[in-house]
Amino acid sequence: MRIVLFSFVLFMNLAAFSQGKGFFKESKLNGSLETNNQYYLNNKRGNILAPEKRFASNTYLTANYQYKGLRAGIQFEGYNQALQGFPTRYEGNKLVRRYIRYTNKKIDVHVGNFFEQFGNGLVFRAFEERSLGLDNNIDGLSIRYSPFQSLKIKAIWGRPRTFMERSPGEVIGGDLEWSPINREKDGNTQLLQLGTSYVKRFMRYYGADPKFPQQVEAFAARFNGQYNAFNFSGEWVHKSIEANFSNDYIKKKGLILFLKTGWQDPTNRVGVQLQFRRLENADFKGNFNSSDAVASINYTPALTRQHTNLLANIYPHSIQPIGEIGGMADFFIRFKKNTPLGGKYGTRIDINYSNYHALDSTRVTTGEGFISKRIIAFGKTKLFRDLNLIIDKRWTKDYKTLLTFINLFYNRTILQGGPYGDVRATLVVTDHYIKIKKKYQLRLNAEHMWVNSDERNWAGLLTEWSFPNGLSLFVSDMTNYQTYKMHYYNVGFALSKNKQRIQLSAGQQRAGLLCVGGICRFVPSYNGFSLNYTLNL
Amino acid sequence: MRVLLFLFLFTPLTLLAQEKLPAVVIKSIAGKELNTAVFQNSDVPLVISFWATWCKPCLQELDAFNDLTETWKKETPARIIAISIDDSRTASGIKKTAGLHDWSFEVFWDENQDLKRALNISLIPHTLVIDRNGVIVKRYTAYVPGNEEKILSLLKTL
Repeated sequence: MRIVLFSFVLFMNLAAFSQGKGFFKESKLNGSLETNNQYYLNNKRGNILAPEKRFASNTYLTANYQYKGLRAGIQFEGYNQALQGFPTRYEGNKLVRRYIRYTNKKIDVHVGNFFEQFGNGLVFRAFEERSLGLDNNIDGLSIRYSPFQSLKIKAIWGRPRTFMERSPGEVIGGDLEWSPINREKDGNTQLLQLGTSYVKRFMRYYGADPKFPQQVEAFAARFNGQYNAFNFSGEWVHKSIEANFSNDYIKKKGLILFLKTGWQDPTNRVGVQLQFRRLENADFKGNFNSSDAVASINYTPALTRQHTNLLANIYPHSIQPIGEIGGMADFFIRFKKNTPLGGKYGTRIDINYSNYHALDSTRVTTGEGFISKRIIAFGKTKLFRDLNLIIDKRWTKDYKTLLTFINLFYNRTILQGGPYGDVRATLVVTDHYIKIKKKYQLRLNAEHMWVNSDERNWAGLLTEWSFPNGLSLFVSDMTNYQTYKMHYYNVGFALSKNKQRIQLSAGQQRAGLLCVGGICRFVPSYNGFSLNYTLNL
Repeated sequence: MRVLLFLFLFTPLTLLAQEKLPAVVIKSIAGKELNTAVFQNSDVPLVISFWATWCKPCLQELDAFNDLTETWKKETPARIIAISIDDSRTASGIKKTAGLHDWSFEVFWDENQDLKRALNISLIPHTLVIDRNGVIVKRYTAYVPGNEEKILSLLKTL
C-alpha cells in the first residue's frame, strides 16, 4: 500500500515540477480537502453529556491525476474520533481509495476502488455519501463496454468497503442495457431502454447451520422510456434466500417491484409523477453479520419528499426493507406571469403525497419468518404518510415567499422501534427572501409544528444574512416548548471564496439536512462548536 | 510523517491545478447517456452548476441564472448547464423541478455522482465557469446572491 501511495505522490511531484514540458503538458491534476471538526460540551439541563474525548474530526483528502484517457487517484480519510452520529468504526487514518482507470469511446476499465450502479440501484449501487458516513466502494475490477451506441455492458468484481476495512463478502455482477428506440426531433423525445442485471455475493459462513446461504444471487429486469411528454419506467428484482443480521437471519427470498410514470406539459405549466414500490426482504448485504447501512450493496432509499425545513426532519420516514409497500405522487402547477393567479412574477404550486404500509403478510414458524402471497396488497399497519403543499410566490423584484403546509403520520413504534404509539403532525412554514440593493439578502424562516404526542408542539426560527463578499451570518432555534422546553439553537458564520469555504457554528444541533451559508448538507447532532472547511484545487 | 506526506501531496496540486472538465458519462432527464467529453472543446464558454432538488440555495442560484437569461444572451454566447446530483430517492423530482421553475437551460443528471466525484466536489451548489478551451477558470462553492453578476462579468472576458 505504501509503495503505491509513494509512487503516486512522487509521480505527481514530477508532473508538477515539469509543468508544460512534453508528456506532462497533457497531465492534469486536481484535488480537494474537506475537514469537519466538532468540540463537545455538556448540557446538564438536557441531560446531554459530552463524550470523554471532547474533540472529534473527520477529514477527507483526495487527489486525481489525468493524462488523456488515463486517470488515477487516491483518497485519504482521517478520523480523530469520528463525529458524533457517525459509526465509531470509522477510526484512524487510512488510504481508503486508490484507483487507475482507462477510458476510450468504447471501453472503460477501472482497477482498484470504484463506484458503480446498475439500473435504479435496487440490485447494486456502490456510492459515497460522506455527510451520512456511507461509502461502500468496491475494491476490485469494473469494466464498461459499449460495442455500439445502443448497447452498454457492465461487469464488476471485488469486495465492498465496510468502514476502514473490506467486507469479508465478495461481489460479482453484470449489467446489460439495450436502447432499441432513441429519437429526438423538434423537442420531442422517444426513448426506450431495456436492461437486465445479475449480482452474486459470496461470504463464508463458519456457524453450525449447514443450510445457511453463503451465496446470495439477485436478478433484475427493467425498462425506461419516454414518449414525448409521457415517461414510464420500472424494475423488478428477485433475490435468492438471504439471511442476515438485519432480518434476524430468517431464510427468505427477496423481491422488489418499482414502477414510475409521469406526464409533463411541454410548456411546463402542469406536471404529474407517480411512483410505486414494494419491498420484501430487500436489503442485500455485502456482509451478512452487519446491521449497518454501509454494508448494503443495493440502494432502497425512502421514496418520500426530502424535507429542507428545520422541524419536518424530526419525523422522517425510515424504510422497512423487510416489508413495505407504498408510493409517492408529485403534482405541480405553474401560473404564468401577468395572469390573475400568477400576478406580475408568476406563482408555483407544488403538491407531494406519499403513503407507506407494511406488507399484507402472515407470520410462519418456518425459517422464512413470514409469507406475503399477494404482490399488490397493502397491509393493515400504516407506516408513514406525508402530504406537502408549497406555494412559491415572488411579490416584487426583491421579495419572495415560500409557504409550506405539511401533514404527516409517523408510526413511531415501528420506525423508531419501541412502544411509542403513533405521531400525527401538522406543520406550517413561511420562508421569506428579501434582497437589499441587489447584493445583500435577508432570509427569514419561521415554522410551527402541531404534534399530538411524543414531544408535542415545536416552534422554529431561522434568520440568515448574506453579504456580497461571500459572508453569511445565521442564527436558528427550534424548541419543543410544551414538554422538555429544550432549545436547539445554532449561531454561526460561513465564508465562501471561490474554491474555499469555511463555516463555524456553535449551539445544540439536531441531526438533519441543514441549508445555511449558501449550501445544503446533512449535519450530525452535537452540542458545542463545529468547524467545517473545504478546499478545491 | 503524515504532515510531510500531506505537504508533498499538496505541493504539486497547487502548482499544477489547471483543470479541464473530465470525460464522464452523465444522463439526460429522460435517461439518455451523454459523455461530458462533448463539452470539453465547446466553441462557447460554459457555466456548469451542480444542484439537487432538495437544495434551496441551488434552486435560488439557478432561478437567478434563469432570470438573467435574456441579458446573458445579449452579452455572451455562453451556455448554461445544470447538472443534478439527485439519487434515486429524489430523482423523480428533477424533471418536475426544472418544469416548475421553467428553466430555459439544459438540465442533466449525474446519477451516481461520477462527475461530481471526478471534480472533487463535496458541497452543492457548486458552479464552474469553463472557457472555450475546456479549462475550468473559476469555481464557486456555495451560492451568494450576486454571484450571477460576477459570473456574467467573467464570461464577457472569455
